[in-house]
Amino acid sequence: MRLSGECRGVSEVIASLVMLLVVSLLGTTLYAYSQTTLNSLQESFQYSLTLEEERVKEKFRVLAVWWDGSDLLNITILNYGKVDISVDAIYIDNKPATRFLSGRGETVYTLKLVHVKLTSPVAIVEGRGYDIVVVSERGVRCEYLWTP
Amino acid sequence: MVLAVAGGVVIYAYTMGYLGGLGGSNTPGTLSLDAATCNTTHIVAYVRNIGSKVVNVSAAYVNNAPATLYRNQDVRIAVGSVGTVIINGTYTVGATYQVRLVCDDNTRLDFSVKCES
Repeated sequence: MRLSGECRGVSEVIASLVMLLVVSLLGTTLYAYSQTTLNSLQESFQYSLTLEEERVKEKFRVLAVWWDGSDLLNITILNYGKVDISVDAIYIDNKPATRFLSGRGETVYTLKLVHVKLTSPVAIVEGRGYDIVVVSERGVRCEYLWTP
Repeated sequence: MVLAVAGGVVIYAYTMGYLGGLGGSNTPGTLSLDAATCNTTHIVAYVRNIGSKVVNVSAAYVNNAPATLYRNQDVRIAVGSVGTVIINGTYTVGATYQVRLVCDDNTRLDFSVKCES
């Protein structure tokens, strides 16, 4: 096609090809980016879903607390849930225990016991009630009111 | 044709922005409360990161009012770890406070704590 005056242009075929190229490039970029982002999102949702599912299946309770008369405690915990657990933290009257002698971090299989020995972060007085909170690695809590 | 291209560019930009906000680093983490205590000057929360990425607790609200974190410092909590978040303030013994912790990636944790001593 010839244009009048000084104006010059490209043929309809070339223009169409350029347009096609631009649209294809944009489409490809959008597709690749969407794929990556959606995959990442899906992985994130899957992780959250699996974690929540495991947290729901996780069930444990304190069966007994043994006290040596000073500040040493031995807490017996039963895993009666459907997944293995691991005791990660124990709080006594909302104060975290920092000195563990054994039991912490051990895998406790379903219907098995674990004995967690620790030094109490608070002074134990006979006859007084203590709020013991056991927390698993997945963040599931078990509360137990104990009176020595 | 100009309209079609302009429309395409607008839709493209909108979609890219929307997708950018959905995934990746903007996805919030997951926090869980282990235990919390309160005295007349501080609320102390032991917060567990049960998500898949590191979080940074950067703001706290007590009864919907902004509160200050101890030393005005963010609390960084690694994956699987427990962070101690201390919130300054004046609290009344016997009262229960609604606390919200907010991370810089918009991860939130709400809990209540009774001031006991």
